[in-house]
Amino acid sequence: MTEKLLQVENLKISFDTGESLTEVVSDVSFEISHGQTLGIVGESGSGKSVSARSIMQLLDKNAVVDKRSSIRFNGEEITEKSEKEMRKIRGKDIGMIFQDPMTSLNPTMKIGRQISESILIHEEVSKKEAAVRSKEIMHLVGIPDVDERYEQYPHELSGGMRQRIVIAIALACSPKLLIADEPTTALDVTIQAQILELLQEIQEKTGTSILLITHDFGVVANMCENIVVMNQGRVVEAGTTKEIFSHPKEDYTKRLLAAIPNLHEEKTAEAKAKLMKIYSGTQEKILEVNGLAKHFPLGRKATLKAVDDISFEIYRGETLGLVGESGSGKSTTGRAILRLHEPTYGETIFNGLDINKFKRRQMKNMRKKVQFVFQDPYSSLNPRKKVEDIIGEALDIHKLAKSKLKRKQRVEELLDLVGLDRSFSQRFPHEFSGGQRQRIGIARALAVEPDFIVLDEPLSALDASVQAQIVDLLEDLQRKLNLTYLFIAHDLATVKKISDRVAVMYKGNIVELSDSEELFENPVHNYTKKLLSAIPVPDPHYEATGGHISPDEEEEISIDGQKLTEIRPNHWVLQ
Amino acid sequence: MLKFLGKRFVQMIPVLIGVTILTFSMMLLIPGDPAQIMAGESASPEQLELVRERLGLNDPIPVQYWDYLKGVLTGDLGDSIRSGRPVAEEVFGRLAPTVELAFYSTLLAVFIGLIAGVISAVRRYSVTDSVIMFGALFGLSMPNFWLGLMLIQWLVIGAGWFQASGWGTHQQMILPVITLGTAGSAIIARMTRSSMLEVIDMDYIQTARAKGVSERVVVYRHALKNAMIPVVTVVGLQFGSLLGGAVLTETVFAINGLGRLIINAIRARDFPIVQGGVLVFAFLFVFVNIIVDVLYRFLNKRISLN
Amino acid sequence: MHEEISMNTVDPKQTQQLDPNIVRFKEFWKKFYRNKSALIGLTMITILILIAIFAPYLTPYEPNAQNYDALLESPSFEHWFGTDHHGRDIFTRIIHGMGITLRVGFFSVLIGMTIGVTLGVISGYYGNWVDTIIMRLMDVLLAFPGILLALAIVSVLGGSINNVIISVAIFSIPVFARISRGSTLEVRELEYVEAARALGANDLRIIGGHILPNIMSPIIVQATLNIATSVLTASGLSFLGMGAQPPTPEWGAMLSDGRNYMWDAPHVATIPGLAIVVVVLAFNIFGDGLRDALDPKSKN
Repeated sequence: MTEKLLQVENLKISFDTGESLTEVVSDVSFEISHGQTLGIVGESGSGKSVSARSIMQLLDKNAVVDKRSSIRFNGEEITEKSEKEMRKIRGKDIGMIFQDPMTSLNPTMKIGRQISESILIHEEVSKKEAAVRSKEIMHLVGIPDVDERYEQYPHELSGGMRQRIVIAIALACSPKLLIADEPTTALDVTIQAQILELLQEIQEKTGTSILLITHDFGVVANMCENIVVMNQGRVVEAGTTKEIFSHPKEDYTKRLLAAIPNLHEEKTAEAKAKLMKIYSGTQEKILEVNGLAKHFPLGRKATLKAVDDISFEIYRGETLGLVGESGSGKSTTGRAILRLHEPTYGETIFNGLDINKFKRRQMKNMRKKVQFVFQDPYSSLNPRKKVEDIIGEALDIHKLAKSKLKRKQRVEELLDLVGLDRSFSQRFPHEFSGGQRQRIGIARALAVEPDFIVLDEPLSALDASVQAQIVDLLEDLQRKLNLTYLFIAHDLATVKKISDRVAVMYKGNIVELSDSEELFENPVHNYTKKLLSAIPVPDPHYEATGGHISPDEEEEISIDGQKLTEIRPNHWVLQ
Repeated sequence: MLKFLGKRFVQMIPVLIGVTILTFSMMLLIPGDPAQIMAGESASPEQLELVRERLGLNDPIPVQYWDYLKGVLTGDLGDSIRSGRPVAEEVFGRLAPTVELAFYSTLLAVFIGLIAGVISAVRRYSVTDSVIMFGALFGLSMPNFWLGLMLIQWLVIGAGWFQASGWGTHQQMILPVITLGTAGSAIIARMTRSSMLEVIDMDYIQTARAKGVSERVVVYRHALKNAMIPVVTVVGLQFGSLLGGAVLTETVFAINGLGRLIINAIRARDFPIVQGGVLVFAFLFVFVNIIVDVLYRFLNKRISLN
Repeated sequence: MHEEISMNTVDPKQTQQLDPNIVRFKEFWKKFYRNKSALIGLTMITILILIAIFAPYLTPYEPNAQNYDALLESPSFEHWFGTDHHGRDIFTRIIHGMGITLRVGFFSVLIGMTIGVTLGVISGYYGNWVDTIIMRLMDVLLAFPGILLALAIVSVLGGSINNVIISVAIFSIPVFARISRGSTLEVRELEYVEAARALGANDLRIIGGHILPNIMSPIIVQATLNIATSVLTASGLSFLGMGAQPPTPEWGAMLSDGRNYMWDAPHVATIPGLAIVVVVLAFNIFGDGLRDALDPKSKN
């Protein structure tokens, strides 16, 4: 019988809160063979990261590992090793990649030294030799201009490059096992695709085993042979990737799989009819943005053109998806429409009037018609106010409630509307989960009975299964209240289901705009193609058919002096 | 570097002007007639008028300020009422002991503060940590004039090891430096500790541990350097604030520095000296701050680029 | 001059992440109660306040009653802390001085905090030229190192307890202005403030309803620590003869008197100093504990 590389059995971990022990991992078992990749998938609070850290014995001081737990690595029992013995394994036999490359590198140490440090600790080599080896590894992880980079500090590199450095550090001593803890969560979608590809490539070249921890089923589908699904500290289901994707046994797994947006799903007849009305010109235009721009001064001379002269229209009852990566200007656009950021120039015509010319009083009235839902459910609710007052504030400002009782009744109505219990009105925000908070934020926006709502990445801070629920709620509300949405997101997969039409933003410009089906089936602009190819396909069979095109991180797509032109009916491309 | 230095100076000009406005208005706000104070109690009305004319007290206030500002820029701060000598001469003659006292006290504060802070952070939540941190809290809570008197009580009157007045010899200098440096040590120790503990929780410390780096190396190679960044600013500012603390220390140890000059001048109602002394203190402090800023920038060139 | 120059200030990095979960007093109290040093500090302060209130009932002597039969006596059963050069009972004077010390500490901080926070919030919320002017003004005040600003003010106003309160209050304005400005800048960018603006709320509602309540924690911590600093500064002024005038039983002034008898009667200078240390220590311990109790990162 061949010995497995890693065997975790009955892992049980608790946190000592000072008063009691809280169990966060219970009876978790899994194993990895040599050269294999195992994915652990779970939502926040599933205990997946804690489990991974216990393999390195890098848990916080208040974590207690149960005595009956066993972690066998390479035939040796890790739980019995001393700190000194563990140090010989860390970095040498097991390498670890962390989530956020912006914080996981030492800001005051040169990159080269951070990589060679590992080699110098574990191997009897000269500094010169360690430097040569480090540069080889930097080359392996796809870093250009190695000699130059070797002498640089982390802040001189982009996020994607930094994550490559983190991987290089983990690989420095050719470990037998690589633990990657959400290695792409903090990165833009196109960068995410490259890092995943890099990990696959490394595995092919070095034969190392990988333990991949993620919340994203899309990521594991074509990376891993086997999957362990975790929820609330327990293993829900384990098996080969193909098995789990095609025949999930547990409800929880089924729900997670169902929450993955299907890019090839057909539109419903209702949605098609709505689109027809828009295209035929019979649907009322609710908002028209004309040459809107928002520039931020950067020091004395430079300006950041966050939004640079964009135009689009939104029709009553539709959802326009606005997609772009960080720095594309999508959120600024949403804020400039509501004048939360004062636009530098341009028109925003709402119900026939340019709101950028509005005086204070008109503006206040406009705010009854146009509302905003924010990204972060944690910072978008004032922690010191009760839910009743958070939602009720909108009523107070516009004097929409005649009496205290009316105010209370209206707040309860709104809570009903967003699917929350009426009793929640007397509680404070911190008592709620992310999804519930987001519902409160939606209720607040609905309080003034708006026609149009800007939704700024309302899903990105939520777990996948919760995301699906919020999408359902938004669609439901749209139908009931005849709402119009501008739905901002950082990846195309999210907007596919909810949007009627989609606009793709890049460097402050709209580079492509069409209905979502057309855009997904026939993307024209290079950037749209890049975004589409970066979506991890949650289908284990997909790999065989050819996989991704490989985007180059350094490649910049030029958009200077180009104009949005209609290349096919209702399909606009910047060219 | 020079460019940055120049830029900081230019930025400080409004502050320096504000400082001169404040010191100028001191003269306007003192109760009683400045001319009377200058000329003395027994002066006749004619003499008073003469003094007023000479000092420009009959001019409108903006003109008076303009004359004052011109004086400041040319180094003319008026004359002392008591000695009749130019204020600038008196003030600059007393500057050296004050600056030396503040400088040595800062050195002491850095030396003790850093060592204590690092020890405390490395052995966090131990008895050593508790003792150091309580000591620091105590050091912070002592009025330095009282500490000075206690040191005199024990080490001068009791043991006879040092001298209790004057400035120049080791025997004279050690006690004032300890007196003034204690609170600084306490502040730096607390700052170092909390900065170290903050850094220890950073992700990159986890990265270092995951490499198999020993805890010792984690602390001294990875954490210390990053933890020092905020401490550097505090160290610089200490020098400035110890300048102010020197007023009390000089009084306790009878050191003929700028602080004591001001105190004696206030008692003697010699306002030109008070005004000039305060002005020079403020200018000195502003310049020290500029230098600290530049040094900080120089030490953290990499960080500030970000 | 980017940082505070006062003796002890709240580390902005720590305080701006004060636990948003501490909303209600009950939750705060739970954390506070577990924090030993906060509890010790609070107990000390309570006792000190009680002493100040009941001072006349705690001793048989009058603070200014001179007794030329008992000059410079060492501590004894009759005179717990001994007597001074006028034969006054030092214990009585210390106890009566407690009220003065606490009053100076509380009122100077209250005034300095009110003005400082108002300026800081306006500065941070409106930004631009308002910010520039206010902050430059604060820079000017901060340009006078340490006790010098208070000293300069008191030298103009003349020495008295009320003038000490005014000068120490002005001295502490910049610290509060800076802290509240920093916190305002941070809270201003949070999405709930944007949400209020999106709903059409005016500046007054945003500042009063959303910003002020959420920046209060660091300000309260700073106020506590600043009482300590103010007590030190005020006693320093009196020590220099610029504060309370004789025969007021003010500790700094008593200490100053004691200097002349260091050889024969060291207790005259030692005891008022110890009293200052106890008060300052109490507020520092309480402030530290409060900060930890409000800090989400501290678990115990």
